[in-house]
Amino acid sequence: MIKLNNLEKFYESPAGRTYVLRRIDMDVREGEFVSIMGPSGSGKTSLLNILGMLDSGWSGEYYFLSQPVHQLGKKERAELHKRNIGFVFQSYHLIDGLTVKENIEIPLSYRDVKRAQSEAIVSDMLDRFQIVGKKDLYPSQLSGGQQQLVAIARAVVASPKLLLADEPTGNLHSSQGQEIMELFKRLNEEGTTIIQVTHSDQNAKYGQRVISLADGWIAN
Amino acid sequence: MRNLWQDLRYGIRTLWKRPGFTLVAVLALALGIAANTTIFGAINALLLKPFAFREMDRIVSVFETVPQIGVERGSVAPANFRDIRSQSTSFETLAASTGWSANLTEDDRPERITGAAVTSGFFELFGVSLKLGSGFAAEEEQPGRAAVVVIGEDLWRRRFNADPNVVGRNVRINETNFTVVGVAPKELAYPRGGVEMWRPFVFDEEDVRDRESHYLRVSGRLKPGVSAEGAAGEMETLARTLAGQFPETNEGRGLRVTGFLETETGGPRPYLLIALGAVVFVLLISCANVANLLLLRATERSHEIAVRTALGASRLRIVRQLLTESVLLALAGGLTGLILSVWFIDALAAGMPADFARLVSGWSNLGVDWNVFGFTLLLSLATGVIFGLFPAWQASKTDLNEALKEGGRGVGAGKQGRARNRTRNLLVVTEVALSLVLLAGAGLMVRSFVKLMNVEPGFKTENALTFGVALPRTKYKEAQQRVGFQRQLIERLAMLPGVSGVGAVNNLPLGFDGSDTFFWRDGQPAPQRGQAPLANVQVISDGYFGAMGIPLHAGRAFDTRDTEKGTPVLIINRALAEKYFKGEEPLGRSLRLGSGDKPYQIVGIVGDVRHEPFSDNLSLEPELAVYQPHAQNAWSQMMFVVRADGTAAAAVTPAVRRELQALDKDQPIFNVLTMDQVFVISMAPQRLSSFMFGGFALIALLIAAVGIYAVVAYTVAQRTHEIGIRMALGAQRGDIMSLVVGQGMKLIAFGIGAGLLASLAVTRLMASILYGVSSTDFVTFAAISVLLAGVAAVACYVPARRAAKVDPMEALRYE
Repeated sequence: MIKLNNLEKFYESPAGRTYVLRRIDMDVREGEFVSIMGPSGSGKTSLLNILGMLDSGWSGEYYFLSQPVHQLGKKERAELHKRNIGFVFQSYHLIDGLTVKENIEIPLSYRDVKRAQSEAIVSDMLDRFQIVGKKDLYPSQLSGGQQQLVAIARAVVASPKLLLADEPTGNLHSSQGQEIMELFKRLNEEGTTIIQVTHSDQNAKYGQRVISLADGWIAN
Repeated sequence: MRNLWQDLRYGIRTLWKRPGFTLVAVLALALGIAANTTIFGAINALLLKPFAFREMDRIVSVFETVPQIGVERGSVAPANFRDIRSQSTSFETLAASTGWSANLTEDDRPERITGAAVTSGFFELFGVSLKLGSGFAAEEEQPGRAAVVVIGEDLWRRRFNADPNVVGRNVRINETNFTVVGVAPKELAYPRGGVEMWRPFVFDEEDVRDRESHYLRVSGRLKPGVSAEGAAGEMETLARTLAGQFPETNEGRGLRVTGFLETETGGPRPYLLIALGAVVFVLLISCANVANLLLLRATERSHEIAVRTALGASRLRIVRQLLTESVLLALAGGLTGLILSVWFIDALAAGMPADFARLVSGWSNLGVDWNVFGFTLLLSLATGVIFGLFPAWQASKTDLNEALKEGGRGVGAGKQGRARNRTRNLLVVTEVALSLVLLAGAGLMVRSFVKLMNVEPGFKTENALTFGVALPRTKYKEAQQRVGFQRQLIERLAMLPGVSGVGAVNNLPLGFDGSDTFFWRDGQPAPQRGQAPLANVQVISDGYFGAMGIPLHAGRAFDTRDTEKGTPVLIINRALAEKYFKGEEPLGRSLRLGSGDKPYQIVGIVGDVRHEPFSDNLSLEPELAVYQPHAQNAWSQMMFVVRADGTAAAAVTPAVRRELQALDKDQPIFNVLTMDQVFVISMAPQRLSSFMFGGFALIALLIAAVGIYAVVAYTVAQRTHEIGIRMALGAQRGDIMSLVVGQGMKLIAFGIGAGLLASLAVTRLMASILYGVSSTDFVTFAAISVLLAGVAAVACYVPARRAAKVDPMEALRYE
């Protein structure tokens, strides 16, 4: 599904080049659950943003579903991202002014899904995540765990092939974190490829393999 | 006091540190305050103190009324005036005046001077002391007295070099020796603007009995303690007595008393009051705009306010601090506005043709005086409190916990943030709605003016020079002399190179003089007094229709057959023919005019011509008109029309002067204007109003656009994080643009809807000053809605573009 060849990211400064990622070669197959680990500043989130096509300032080759992302224009990348990738953030990033239901609806609204169909998918998602009773609440009325649950529902509502998660349990206490990880496992078993960035060995164990980063290099 | 000083210092520093915000707020306020100061300046000059007369509230106007035919402010007949003066007890002084313009031929330089004939007591009535000499004694009203004149200050300076010994000097006026008995100050420009000399009104034998010629303008100074209502009661009784004594002339006639100021300011009042309404809207839009900016600032400052509160500041203290800032802003806006208003007032003064402006009492007082300055100062303070109080109160309600928790992010998401968003949205909707009402008013004024400009007046306005010649009766006593002079002049002018037609008329179409007379068909019983229809009477020379380009539809024009001793003849206009000779041939039939002493045979029918100026009457109905040959009604004052095809009409003026001088060196020409100028002057108030309204509406549009921009831009800044999330979830640039523009435009749509409803109610008030356009004209309303929506869309588009450029990584890292 994903193939990176010699991918690099750096900043130019008066002092010279500062590398964030260095010569990254990496493969991820469809249906895999991969954890990226490493100390702070090792380039984990940068790598995730590149994989999620939020960042275009890098060099090297990146193939996604056999498409050469490095050769694609901005619009084509956005289209590829829109059709295939879901995101879960450490701090949930729910939109404050929208209800739970409206938050979940957002990705569908950008994918030309008809209204009736969108309603059905969201209802299904609320059901699946057992948050029907909370659909009209605002994010500020939910606990952290509940907010992350909504964020994951939002991330998978458009049935992405790849789910990227940036420290999804970072702001949650352990029991909530465990629930979320169980959910990821279930999603993976249902066929979603997952790449998560995590600090926790415990959470990394939910995946099938770990990619370790140190100072921008792949360490393992 | 120390606190106030501290608040002031802090306020100045805060505003100084935010130059962009301060500049936008001050400019918005300055424009609003300048518009208001300008209109108040005009109201001050034209409505509040157009006259510098003593104890204005004791001066009243007295009118004759004929309720049956809707005459509410009719002039007074000389014999009626004498009875009112001798029999009433309400007035300390009662005086009458009538127009009297004459040729001054001092130093061989003939000049037509606008003047008035006034009864004794005229100068005393207004309480204005003469600069030199005295007014007229009662005996001066008797026939056979030596001719005396009071001259105006401007004339005294212009023609007599401000000679301090002018009193007692002899001057030649209309070929008669007059003795100057006084010099009146500039302030006494009455009974009309531009008056420069006054002579006594002499009641001859005929005047003493004349209750049929209504031409005197009567004013009175009430005795102390007598109210206008009291005087009105007395006048009603007197009118009944006169009607009983002189039923033939006074039956059905009443007497009416109105406040002098109210009477004399009737012309500009509706225009100024509507303009005042317009500028109040501009100010409200400015206030809504600045209140919105302050609300945005308050949101940004909620952390600061929370810290202040946590450190012990009371709510009142916070409100006072914020109010100090808004009053400072308003004062800065007021000062800038005052400077702007000096320009605006100059532009207003320049916007009115001088020939019209000099007729408007008080026009020369236009400017910024202490009244205007005081008004601006009060307005600024009031504005500062009005737009500042609400945001200050809202800001002071900051929830400490929430604000401190949210820290630098500002109160955007919480309950308070949502409440402020709602208020801001409401203010934007209000701003848009107010702008729409103003634009609707402006749109209607402009459309009405364009219609006026395109009105077919019934004659050709291009390439025609007009001027007046008034032959003094002392020199041109006999009708034959006057007719002969006019004929000779016309013949000479017709020979000039480039001139294709010459004619003369006693009252120029679209001019400010005109006379109506009763008429009925000969052979039918004379209608009851006051019941007959009225027609405009024009006395014309041969060749007039040709020179004016007025089409002859049937019969013939006047020619040499129509002599003093020939059959009395008339030419009527088409409207009269169609209304009173429906299905019949008018030619050969006769009409009786006025007192009906003789029949006038109709020899021709001409096209309809607009005679009344648009500034007096905006009716679309064609007027009824009858034309008499000059040979049969030898007026001494005629307006000439010289058609100069192929050359600029005004270029003929020197040749005209030469020809006139060759005939009689003592005769001046006056009111020299091209017909195009006459046309423009006749709609001067409408022209000025549409410029003014247009200007105010543009200011409003500008302020509203800035307001919309500020709110949308702020919202975008506040939502950067959200936009980042949306982009991470798949939104593309177009999605973000339409999100931002869509939300802005939703507010605009609400504003436009509310504005349209309000406009439907408000523009009705303008109906009386619109020509050919309904006050709820669909096309205007649709066009201005589209214009406003377009401008608003641009104001939303700019921040939307910025929103679409948000880098999702940056936005999310912000967390």
